[in-house]
Amino acid sequence: MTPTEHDRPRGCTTTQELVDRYLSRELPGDIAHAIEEHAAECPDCGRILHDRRRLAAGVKHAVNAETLPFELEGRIRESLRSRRGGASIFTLEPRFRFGYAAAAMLLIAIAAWGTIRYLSGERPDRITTYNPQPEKRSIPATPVSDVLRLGLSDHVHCAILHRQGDSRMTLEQMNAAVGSDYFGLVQLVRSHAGAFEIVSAHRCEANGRPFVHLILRRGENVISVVVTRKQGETLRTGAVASADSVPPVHMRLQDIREFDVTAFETDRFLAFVISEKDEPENGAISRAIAPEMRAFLGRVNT
Amino acid sequence: MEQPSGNNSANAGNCVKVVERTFVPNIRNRAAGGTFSGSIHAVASHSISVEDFETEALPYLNDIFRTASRITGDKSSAQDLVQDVYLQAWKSFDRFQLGTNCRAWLFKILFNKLHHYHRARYNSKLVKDAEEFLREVAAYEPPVPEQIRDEEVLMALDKIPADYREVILLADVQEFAYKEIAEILGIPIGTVMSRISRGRKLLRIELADIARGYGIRNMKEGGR
Repeated sequence: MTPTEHDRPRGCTTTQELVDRYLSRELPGDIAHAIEEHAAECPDCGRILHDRRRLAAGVKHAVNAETLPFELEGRIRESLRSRRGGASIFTLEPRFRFGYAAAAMLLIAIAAWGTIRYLSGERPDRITTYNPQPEKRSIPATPVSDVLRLGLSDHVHCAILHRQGDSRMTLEQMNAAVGSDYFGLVQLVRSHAGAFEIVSAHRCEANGRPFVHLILRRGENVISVVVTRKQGETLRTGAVASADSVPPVHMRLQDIREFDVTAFETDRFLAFVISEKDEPENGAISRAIAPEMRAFLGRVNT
Repeated sequence: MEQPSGNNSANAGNCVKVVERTFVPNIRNRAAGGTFSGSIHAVASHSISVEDFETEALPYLNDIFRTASRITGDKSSAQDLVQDVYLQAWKSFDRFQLGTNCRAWLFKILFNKLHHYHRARYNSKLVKDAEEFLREVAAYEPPVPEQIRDEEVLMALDKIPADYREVILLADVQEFAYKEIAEILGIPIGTVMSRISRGRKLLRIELADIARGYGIRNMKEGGR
């Protein structure tokens, strides 16, 4: 029902009072629905709701763009293992303390007896295997999902929040924007883009990291092809000989909404194809461009 | 228009994996409705492997780190803090209530530590100043800039008092329900609601100020 002029102020007041709870999904369905109906009819409240929703998504994106320090997970795993079974005897209940103390005394006595025998020249017939080397632990690599988020972060920031895909650049403009190092990249991607058209190509930066970003459109559907130089990341998870031999990795990731991200790598570069979820062309474009783009990126100056 | 996507329960990160553990007879499991009547001791912790704990708790490492980083404003301190959180969580994993929200439990430990070690950041004078400022600008509703850069959002977020920043991080980034935020921070739910409302308004004001001060960049011409 369209609010009357008499109802409208009350509707606006109520909507604006409840907008924070609405955004936090804290309202019952019928009230949330009433707010949506009112916002759809009232330009002021519609703008407020739109702005606040956009800001909440912007906050989430900005905070989640921060990547986990490479070594932190390894540090935590190490410190947990170093404290494995490390409960102090003083934390035990009194009735257990005696047992643990007795066991500890027995161990000390055995060790002392062994030491005395060893120093006096008596050697045991068999030496128990003991590896004095500390256990080697590989520092876990950056999780693959975090590597894929690098490309997703640029897509969301540039193509979604800043709507760079709304522009229409000419081929000359795009070649100029990506620079001489990447001259030919637009043509390469265009030859495999199918029904998608490249509408923008530029260099950009997200969270201090430079990217070369191509935006492809087919109607409302947007796909980004993003390239960035590696900063120690890899998609390799096992004993794979070279970066070029790693097949493209695909994941569905949540940011402001769900996206499909495909990535492949060379020795020096990471390349990403990012789309809304369930975009069938994502996989097709990734598979088509990967071999030629690997060769292309191999020729890019260091 | 649609209600915002996302579901609090879907984000709850319930720890449903049952970890085998041994309790001594004088301890009643809280999950069974009782309370702990005795001290937790080593017998209990020895039957839970580090690997079990890691499986339960490490998936939330990114969330915990990002939140710590935004509150402390320093990645290095945040790393130390997060390591402390996980060690504390491991030491008290016996007391974790099985089948409840592991993510919320880790956040509760994080904020306990933050409030304990970083009291200076929770400056009540800053909060009073902010409240006074909000009263003065009650009618002012700045528009959200058309183009929002991550750097500007983070700068604006860092400028608001930590009491407000933490509820925004928990509500808008981690998508906890108000009730969960109240439990994590140990404050009444009404306080959560008022802090979210005020915090978001302060954030809009700061962001508008930053956008004015720096000029809204023309992405197409100026690059980023």
